[in-house]
Amino acid sequence: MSGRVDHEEIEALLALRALGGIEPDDERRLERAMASHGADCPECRRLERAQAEAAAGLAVALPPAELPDGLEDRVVAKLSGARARPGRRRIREITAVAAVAVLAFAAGWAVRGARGPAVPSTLAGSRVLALQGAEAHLSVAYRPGRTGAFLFGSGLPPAPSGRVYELWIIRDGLPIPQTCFEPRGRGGAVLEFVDAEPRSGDTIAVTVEPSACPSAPTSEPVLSAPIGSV
Amino acid sequence: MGALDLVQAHDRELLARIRLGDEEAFRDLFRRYAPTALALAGRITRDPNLAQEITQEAFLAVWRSSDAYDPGQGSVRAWLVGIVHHRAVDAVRRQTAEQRRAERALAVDPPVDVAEEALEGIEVPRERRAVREALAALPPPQREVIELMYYGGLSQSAIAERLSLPLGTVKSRTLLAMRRLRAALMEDAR
Repeated sequence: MSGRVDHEEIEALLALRALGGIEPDDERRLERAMASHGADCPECRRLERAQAEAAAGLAVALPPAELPDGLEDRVVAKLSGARARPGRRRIREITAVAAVAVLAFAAGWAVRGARGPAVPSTLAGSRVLALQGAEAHLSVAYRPGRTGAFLFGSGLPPAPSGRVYELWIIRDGLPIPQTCFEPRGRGGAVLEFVDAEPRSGDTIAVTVEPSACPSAPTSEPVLSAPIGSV
Repeated sequence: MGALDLVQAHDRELLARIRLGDEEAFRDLFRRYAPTALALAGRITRDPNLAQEITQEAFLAVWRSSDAYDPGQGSVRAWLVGIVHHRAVDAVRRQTAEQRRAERALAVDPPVDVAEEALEGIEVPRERRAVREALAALPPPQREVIELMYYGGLSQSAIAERLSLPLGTVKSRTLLAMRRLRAALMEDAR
Protein backbone atom coordinates (compact mmCIF):
# COMPACT_ATOMS: atom_id res chain seq x y z
CA MET A 1 0.00 0.00 0.00
CA SER A 2 1.50 3.28 -1.05
CA GLY A 3 -1.29 5.84 -0.42
CA ARG A 4 -0.68 8.59 2.06
CA VAL A 5 -2.81 8.19 5.15
CA ASP A 6 -5.20 11.12 5.41
CA HIS A 7 -5.89 13.22 8.46
CA GLU A 8 -9.21 11.54 9.19
CA GLU A 9 -7.50 8.20 9.64
CA ILE A 10 -4.74 9.80 11.66
CA GLU A 11 -7.41 11.40 13.82
CA ALA A 12 -9.10 8.01 14.33
CA LEU A 13 -5.82 6.36 15.32
CA LEU A 14 -4.91 9.23 17.63
CA ALA A 15 -8.29 8.84 19.33
CA LEU A 16 -7.60 5.17 19.97
CA ARG A 17 -4.15 5.98 21.29
CA ALA A 18 -5.36 8.76 23.56
CA LEU A 19 -7.92 6.40 25.07
CA GLY A 20 -5.35 3.64 25.55
CA GLY A 21 -7.11 1.22 23.20
CA ILE A 22 -4.80 1.20 20.23
CA GLU A 23 -3.24 -2.09 19.14
CA PRO A 24 0.48 -2.35 18.34
CA ASP A 25 -0.15 -2.69 14.58
CA ASP A 26 -2.23 0.47 14.53
CA GLU A 27 0.30 2.25 16.73
CA ARG A 28 2.99 1.53 14.16
CA ARG A 29 0.67 2.58 11.36
CA LEU A 30 0.01 5.84 13.19
CA GLU A 31 3.71 6.50 13.68
CA ARG A 32 4.42 5.84 10.01
CA ALA A 33 1.53 8.00 8.91
CA MET A 34 2.56 10.94 11.07
CA ALA A 35 6.15 10.55 9.99
CA SER A 36 5.03 10.70 6.36
CA HIS A 37 3.28 14.01 7.09
CA GLY A 38 6.39 15.36 8.77
CA ALA A 39 7.02 16.39 12.36
CA ASP A 40 5.86 19.92 11.60
CA CYS A 41 2.51 19.01 10.04
CA PRO A 42 0.26 21.54 11.82
CA GLU A 43 -2.92 19.52 11.37
CA CYS A 44 -1.33 16.36 12.80
CA ARG A 45 -0.11 18.31 15.81
CA ARG A 46 -3.48 19.96 16.28
CA LEU A 47 -5.24 16.60 16.19
CA GLU A 48 -2.72 15.10 18.60
CA ARG A 49 -3.26 17.88 21.11
CA ALA A 50 -7.02 17.76 20.72
CA GLN A 51 -7.25 14.03 21.33
CA ALA A 52 -4.98 14.22 24.35
CA GLU A 53 -7.08 17.01 25.86
CA ALA A 54 -10.34 15.18 25.19
CA ALA A 55 -9.01 12.04 26.87
CA ALA A 56 -7.85 14.09 29.85
CA GLY A 57 -11.35 15.51 30.00
CA LEU A 58 -12.64 12.01 30.66
CA ALA A 59 -10.45 11.86 33.76
CA VAL A 60 -11.74 15.24 34.88
CA ALA A 61 -15.29 13.94 34.52
CA LEU A 62 -14.72 11.63 37.48
CA PRO A 63 -15.38 12.96 40.97
CA PRO A 64 -11.94 13.83 42.38
CA ALA A 65 -10.71 11.33 44.95
CA GLU A 66 -10.03 12.37 48.49
CA LEU A 67 -6.31 12.05 49.07
CA PRO A 68 -5.29 9.80 51.98
CA ASP A 69 -3.61 11.61 54.84
CA GLY A 70 0.11 11.89 54.34
CA LEU A 71 0.15 10.80 50.70
CA GLU A 72 1.63 14.07 49.52
CA ASP A 73 4.39 13.96 52.12
CA ARG A 74 5.15 10.32 51.31
CA VAL A 75 5.56 11.13 47.65
CA VAL A 76 7.69 14.19 48.36
CA ALA A 77 9.86 12.12 50.72
CA LYS A 78 10.71 9.90 47.77
CA LEU A 79 11.81 12.71 45.52
CA SER A 80 15.37 12.65 46.74
CA GLY A 81 15.59 8.94 45.92
CA ALA A 82 14.02 9.41 42.52
CA ARG A 83 16.27 9.92 39.59
CA ALA A 84 16.49 13.63 38.89
CA ARG A 85 17.98 15.33 35.91
CA PRO A 86 21.62 16.09 36.50
CA GLY A 87 22.41 19.77 36.84
CA ARG A 88 24.65 21.38 34.27
CA ARG A 89 27.37 21.98 36.82
CA ARG A 90 27.71 18.27 37.34
CA ILE A 91 28.06 17.30 33.70
CA ARG A 92 31.85 17.33 33.91
CA GLU A 93 31.92 14.97 36.88
CA ILE A 94 29.38 12.68 35.29
CA THR A 95 31.32 12.61 32.07
CA ALA A 96 34.42 11.59 33.98
CA VAL A 97 32.63 8.67 35.60
CA ALA A 98 31.13 7.69 32.25
CA ALA A 99 34.59 7.63 30.74
CA VAL A 100 35.74 5.32 33.50
CA ALA A 101 32.76 3.06 32.88
CA VAL A 102 33.46 2.89 29.17
CA LEU A 103 37.17 2.32 29.69
CA ALA A 104 36.56 -0.37 32.27
CA PHE A 105 34.04 -2.05 30.04
CA ALA A 106 36.32 -1.92 27.04
CA ALA A 107 39.11 -3.44 29.10
CA GLY A 108 36.94 -6.36 30.10
CA TRP A 109 36.91 -5.12 33.66
CA ALA A 110 33.29 -5.96 34.19
CA VAL A 111 33.68 -9.48 32.87
CA ARG A 112 36.61 -10.28 35.11
CA GLY A 113 35.00 -8.60 38.08
CA ALA A 114 31.77 -10.52 37.67
CA ARG A 115 33.66 -13.78 37.90
CA GLY A 116 35.73 -12.77 40.89
CA PRO A 117 34.95 -11.33 44.31
CA ALA A 118 32.74 -8.25 44.40
CA VAL A 119 35.39 -5.82 45.48
CA PRO A 120 35.67 -2.34 44.05
CA SER A 121 38.35 -1.91 41.46
CA THR A 122 40.10 1.40 41.05
CA LEU A 123 40.74 3.21 37.80
CA ALA A 124 41.73 6.87 37.56
CA GLY A 125 40.35 7.69 41.00
CA SER A 126 37.02 6.02 40.28
CA ARG A 127 35.82 2.63 41.38
CA VAL A 128 34.21 -0.19 39.47
CA LEU A 129 32.04 -2.57 41.42
CA ALA A 130 30.97 -5.83 39.74
CA LEU A 131 27.52 -7.20 40.49
CA GLN A 132 27.11 -10.90 41.18
CA GLY A 133 24.23 -13.17 40.26
CA ALA A 134 22.56 -13.66 36.89
CA GLU A 135 24.55 -14.61 33.82
CA ALA A 136 25.21 -11.00 32.99
CA HIS A 137 28.24 -8.83 33.41
CA LEU A 138 27.08 -5.64 35.05
CA SER A 139 29.17 -3.19 37.03
CA VAL A 140 28.76 0.19 38.65
CA ALA A 141 31.38 2.91 38.15
CA TYR A 142 31.47 5.79 40.61
CA ARG A 143 33.76 8.29 42.27
CA PRO A 144 33.73 7.96 46.06
CA GLY A 145 32.19 10.98 47.71
CA ARG A 146 30.59 12.22 44.51
CA THR A 147 26.99 11.85 43.46
CA GLY A 148 26.50 10.16 40.12
CA ALA A 149 27.36 6.68 38.92
CA PHE A 150 27.01 4.55 35.83
CA LEU A 151 25.58 1.08 35.63
CA PHE A 152 27.05 -0.65 32.62
CA GLY A 153 27.73 -4.06 31.14
CA SER A 154 26.33 -6.66 28.80
CA GLY A 155 24.74 -10.08 28.56
CA LEU A 156 21.55 -9.12 30.37
CA PRO A 157 18.60 -11.01 28.86
CA PRO A 158 15.41 -9.06 28.04
CA ALA A 159 13.04 -8.72 30.99
CA PRO A 160 9.84 -10.80 30.73
CA SER A 161 6.91 -9.15 28.98
CA GLY A 162 5.49 -6.23 30.96
CA ARG A 163 8.52 -6.11 33.23
CA VAL A 164 11.69 -4.10 33.53
CA TYR A 165 14.89 -4.25 35.52
CA GLU A 166 15.18 -1.87 38.45
CA LEU A 167 18.33 -0.80 40.28
CA TRP A 168 18.31 -0.25 44.03
CA ILE A 169 20.72 1.08 46.60
CA ILE A 170 19.94 -0.63 49.89
CA ARG A 171 20.70 1.23 53.08
CA ASP A 172 20.06 -0.41 56.44
CA GLY A 173 17.72 -2.88 54.78
CA LEU A 174 15.74 -0.13 53.03
CA PRO A 175 15.82 -0.35 49.20
CA ILE A 176 15.97 3.08 47.56
CA PRO A 177 14.85 3.03 43.92
CA GLN A 178 17.34 4.39 41.40
CA THR A 179 16.37 3.69 37.84
CA CYS A 180 14.40 1.27 35.69
CA PHE A 181 16.03 0.02 32.56
CA GLU A 182 16.02 -2.58 29.82
CA PRO A 183 19.01 -4.09 28.05
CA ARG A 184 19.59 -2.91 24.52
CA GLY A 185 20.39 -4.86 21.41
CA ARG A 186 21.21 -8.51 20.98
CA GLY A 187 24.15 -8.28 23.32
CA GLY A 188 21.97 -7.16 26.22
CA ALA A 189 24.01 -3.99 26.66
CA VAL A 190 23.32 -1.70 29.60
CA LEU A 191 24.50 1.86 30.21
CA GLU A 192 22.44 3.82 32.72
CA PHE A 193 23.15 6.93 34.72
CA VAL A 194 22.36 6.73 38.42
CA ASP A 195 21.88 10.03 40.21
CA ALA A 196 23.13 8.85 43.58
CA GLU A 197 26.27 8.21 45.57
CA PRO A 198 26.53 4.40 45.77
CA ARG A 199 28.31 4.62 49.12
CA SER A 200 25.14 6.16 50.58
CA GLY A 201 24.03 2.52 50.87
CA ASP A 202 25.55 -0.80 51.85
CA THR A 203 24.35 -2.94 48.95
CA ILE A 204 23.49 -2.36 45.33
CA ALA A 205 20.98 -4.69 43.68
CA VAL A 206 18.96 -5.28 40.53
CA THR A 207 15.48 -6.81 40.55
CA VAL A 208 12.88 -7.61 37.90
CA GLU A 209 9.81 -5.43 38.43
CA PRO A 210 6.48 -4.51 36.83
CA SER A 211 6.86 -1.86 34.16
CA ALA A 212 5.18 0.67 36.47
CA CYS A 213 8.63 0.83 38.06
CA PRO A 214 7.56 0.48 41.71
CA SER A 215 9.13 2.39 44.57
CA ALA A 216 9.61 -0.80 46.61
CA PRO A 217 10.91 -4.10 45.22
CA THR A 218 8.45 -6.91 44.60
CA SER A 219 11.01 -9.63 43.93
CA GLU A 220 14.39 -10.91 45.04
CA PRO A 221 17.53 -9.44 43.45
CA VAL A 222 18.88 -11.12 40.35
CA LEU A 223 22.19 -9.24 40.72
CA SER A 224 23.76 -7.60 43.73
CA ALA A 225 27.00 -6.51 45.33
CA PRO A 226 28.00 -5.23 48.75
CA ILE A 227 29.27 -1.69 48.43
CA GLY A 228 31.70 -1.68 51.34
CA SER A 229 33.42 1.33 52.81
CA VAL A 230 36.31 1.85 50.40
CA MET B 1 -6.32 34.82 27.50
CA GLY B 2 -9.09 32.64 28.97
CA ALA B 3 -9.16 30.97 32.35
CA LEU B 4 -8.09 27.67 30.83
CA ASP B 5 -5.10 29.32 29.16
CA LEU B 6 -4.07 30.84 32.49
CA VAL B 7 -4.26 27.45 34.17
CA GLN B 8 -2.18 25.87 31.43
CA ALA B 9 0.41 28.65 31.59
CA HIS B 10 0.66 28.22 35.35
CA ASP B 11 1.09 24.46 34.96
CA ARG B 12 3.91 24.98 32.49
CA GLU B 13 5.58 27.33 34.92
CA LEU B 14 5.27 24.74 37.69
CA LEU B 15 6.83 22.14 35.44
CA ALA B 16 9.69 24.46 34.57
CA ARG B 17 10.37 24.92 38.29
CA ILE B 18 10.11 21.17 38.88
CA ARG B 19 12.82 20.73 36.26
CA LEU B 20 15.04 22.84 38.47
CA GLY B 21 14.28 20.66 41.49
CA ASP B 22 11.69 22.93 43.14
CA GLU B 23 9.79 20.76 45.63
CA GLU B 24 7.19 23.45 46.34
CA ALA B 25 6.29 23.53 42.67
CA PHE B 26 5.98 19.75 42.78
CA ARG B 27 3.67 20.02 45.78
CA ASP B 28 1.53 22.57 43.94
CA LEU B 29 1.20 20.30 40.94
CA PHE B 30 0.48 17.32 43.19
CA ARG B 31 -2.30 19.14 45.07
CA ARG B 32 -3.81 20.28 41.84
CA TYR B 33 -3.92 16.97 40.02
CA ALA B 34 -3.44 14.11 42.47
CA PRO B 35 -7.19 13.92 43.27
CA THR B 36 -7.95 13.46 39.58
CA ALA B 37 -5.05 11.04 39.15
CA LEU B 38 -6.15 8.94 42.11
CA ALA B 39 -9.76 8.94 40.94
CA LEU B 40 -8.73 7.80 37.47
CA ALA B 41 -6.34 5.11 38.69
CA GLY B 42 -8.98 3.90 41.16
CA ARG B 43 -11.59 3.81 38.47
CA ILE B 44 -9.46 1.73 36.15
CA THR B 45 -7.88 -0.66 38.65
CA ARG B 46 -10.73 -0.96 41.13
CA ASP B 47 -8.04 -1.34 43.75
CA PRO B 48 -7.47 1.60 46.13
CA ASN B 49 -3.98 0.48 47.15
CA LEU B 50 -2.85 -0.09 43.58
CA ALA B 51 -4.39 3.25 42.61
CA GLN B 52 -2.35 5.01 45.29
CA GLU B 53 0.79 3.26 44.12
CA ILE B 54 0.15 4.23 40.51
CA THR B 55 -0.52 7.84 41.50
CA GLN B 56 2.69 7.99 43.49
CA GLU B 57 4.73 6.45 40.71
CA ALA B 58 3.19 8.72 38.09
CA PHE B 59 4.11 11.84 40.06
CA LEU B 60 7.59 10.51 40.71
CA ALA B 61 7.87 9.94 36.96
CA VAL B 62 6.93 13.60 36.46
CA TRP B 63 9.70 14.59 38.85
CA ARG B 64 12.23 12.33 37.15
CA SER B 65 11.25 13.04 33.58
CA SER B 66 9.81 16.53 33.48
CA ASP B 67 11.92 17.25 30.42
CA ALA B 68 9.95 14.60 28.53
CA TYR B 69 6.94 16.91 28.44
CA ASP B 70 6.29 18.30 24.96
CA PRO B 71 3.96 21.33 24.94
CA GLY B 72 3.22 20.59 21.30
CA GLN B 73 1.39 17.42 22.31
CA GLY B 74 -0.98 19.03 24.80
CA SER B 75 -1.28 20.56 28.24
CA VAL B 76 0.66 19.51 31.32
CA ARG B 77 -2.59 18.12 32.66
CA ALA B 78 -3.15 15.97 29.59
CA TRP B 79 0.44 14.72 29.81
CA LEU B 80 0.18 13.87 33.49
CA VAL B 81 -3.23 12.23 33.18
CA GLY B 82 -1.86 10.27 30.23
CA ILE B 83 0.95 8.89 32.40
CA VAL B 84 -1.53 7.83 35.07
CA HIS B 85 -3.87 6.28 32.54
CA HIS B 86 -1.10 4.38 30.80
CA ARG B 87 0.24 2.94 34.04
CA ALA B 88 -3.20 2.01 35.33
CA VAL B 89 -4.15 0.29 32.08
CA ASP B 90 -0.85 -1.57 32.07
CA ALA B 91 -1.52 -2.75 35.60
CA VAL B 92 -5.01 -3.91 34.76
CA ARG B 93 -3.92 -5.72 31.62
CA ARG B 94 -1.36 -7.63 33.60
CA GLN B 95 -4.11 -9.07 35.67
CA THR B 96 -6.03 -12.02 34.41
CA ALA B 97 -9.30 -10.66 35.72
CA GLU B 98 -9.44 -7.94 33.09
CA GLN B 99 -12.83 -8.88 31.77
CA ARG B 100 -14.42 -9.16 35.19
CA ARG B 101 -13.03 -5.79 36.23
CA ALA B 102 -14.48 -4.08 33.20
CA GLU B 103 -17.84 -5.68 33.86
CA ARG B 104 -17.73 -4.44 37.41
CA ALA B 105 -16.71 -1.01 36.22
CA LEU B 106 -19.80 -0.75 34.11
CA ALA B 107 -22.12 -2.51 36.49
CA VAL B 108 -21.30 -0.60 39.64
CA ASP B 109 -21.06 3.04 38.75
CA PRO B 110 -21.29 4.37 35.26
CA PRO B 111 -19.02 7.40 34.94
CA VAL B 112 -21.67 9.54 33.36
CA ASP B 113 -24.28 10.15 35.94
CA VAL B 114 -25.31 13.73 35.91
CA ALA B 115 -27.65 13.05 38.80
CA GLU B 116 -24.61 12.15 40.86
CA GLU B 117 -23.76 15.81 40.93
CA ALA B 118 -26.66 16.39 43.28
CA LEU B 119 -25.10 13.99 45.75
CA GLU B 120 -21.67 15.51 45.47
CA GLY B 121 -22.68 18.90 46.73
CA ILE B 122 -23.11 22.29 45.36
CA GLU B 123 -20.06 22.99 43.25
CA VAL B 124 -19.25 20.83 40.28
CA PRO B 125 -16.48 22.50 38.34
CA ARG B 126 -17.70 23.77 35.04
CA GLU B 127 -15.38 21.71 32.90
CA ARG B 128 -16.28 18.50 34.67
CA ARG B 129 -19.95 19.24 34.24
CA ALA B 130 -19.41 19.98 30.56
CA VAL B 131 -17.63 16.67 29.96
CA ARG B 132 -20.21 14.74 31.90
CA GLU B 133 -23.03 16.31 29.98
CA ALA B 134 -21.24 15.61 26.73
CA LEU B 135 -20.75 11.99 27.73
CA ALA B 136 -24.36 11.69 28.78
CA ALA B 137 -25.44 13.10 25.44
CA LEU B 138 -23.48 10.57 23.41
CA PRO B 139 -25.45 7.83 21.67
CA PRO B 140 -25.25 4.83 24.04
CA PRO B 141 -23.24 2.65 21.61
CA GLN B 142 -20.57 5.37 21.34
CA ARG B 143 -20.51 5.97 25.08
CA GLU B 144 -20.17 2.25 25.76
CA VAL B 145 -17.08 2.01 23.57
CA ILE B 146 -15.46 5.06 25.16
CA GLU B 147 -16.13 3.82 28.68
CA LEU B 148 -14.84 0.32 28.03
CA MET B 149 -11.70 1.69 26.45
CA TYR B 150 -10.80 4.56 28.76
CA TYR B 151 -12.22 3.50 32.11
CA GLY B 152 -12.19 -0.26 31.53
CA GLY B 153 -8.71 -0.42 30.02
CA LEU B 154 -9.83 -2.61 27.12
CA SER B 155 -8.15 -2.51 23.74
CA GLN B 156 -10.08 -1.96 20.53
CA SER B 157 -9.87 -5.68 19.71
CA ALA B 158 -11.07 -6.69 23.17
CA ILE B 159 -14.03 -4.36 22.82
CA ALA B 160 -14.86 -5.68 19.36
CA GLU B 161 -14.84 -9.19 20.73
CA ARG B 162 -16.85 -8.33 23.80
CA LEU B 163 -19.53 -6.47 21.90
CA SER B 164 -19.44 -8.78 18.86
CA LEU B 165 -18.70 -5.82 16.60
CA PRO B 166 -16.43 -5.46 13.60
CA LEU B 167 -13.20 -3.70 14.52
CA GLY B 168 -14.02 -0.92 12.08
CA THR B 169 -17.23 -0.18 13.96
CA VAL B 170 -15.33 0.18 17.22
CA LYS B 171 -12.95 2.59 15.54
CA SER B 172 -15.66 4.69 13.96
CA ARG B 173 -17.66 4.89 17.19
CA THR B 174 -14.54 5.94 19.04
CA LEU B 175 -13.79 8.66 16.52
CA LEU B 176 -17.32 10.05 16.53
CA ALA B 177 -17.49 10.06 20.31
CA MET B 178 -14.17 11.82 20.66
CA ARG B 179 -15.23 14.47 18.17
CA ARG B 180 -18.30 15.20 20.24
CA LEU B 181 -16.27 15.38 23.43
CA ARG B 182 -13.77 17.72 21.87
CA ALA B 183 -16.54 19.93 20.59
CA ALA B 184 -18.05 20.08 24.08
CA LEU B 185 -14.70 20.96 25.63
CA MET B 186 -14.05 23.66 23.07
CA GLU B 187 -17.49 25.11 23.65
CA ASP B 188 -16.88 25.13 27.39
CA ALA B 189 -13.53 26.87 26.96
CA ARG B 190 -15.11 29.79 25.09
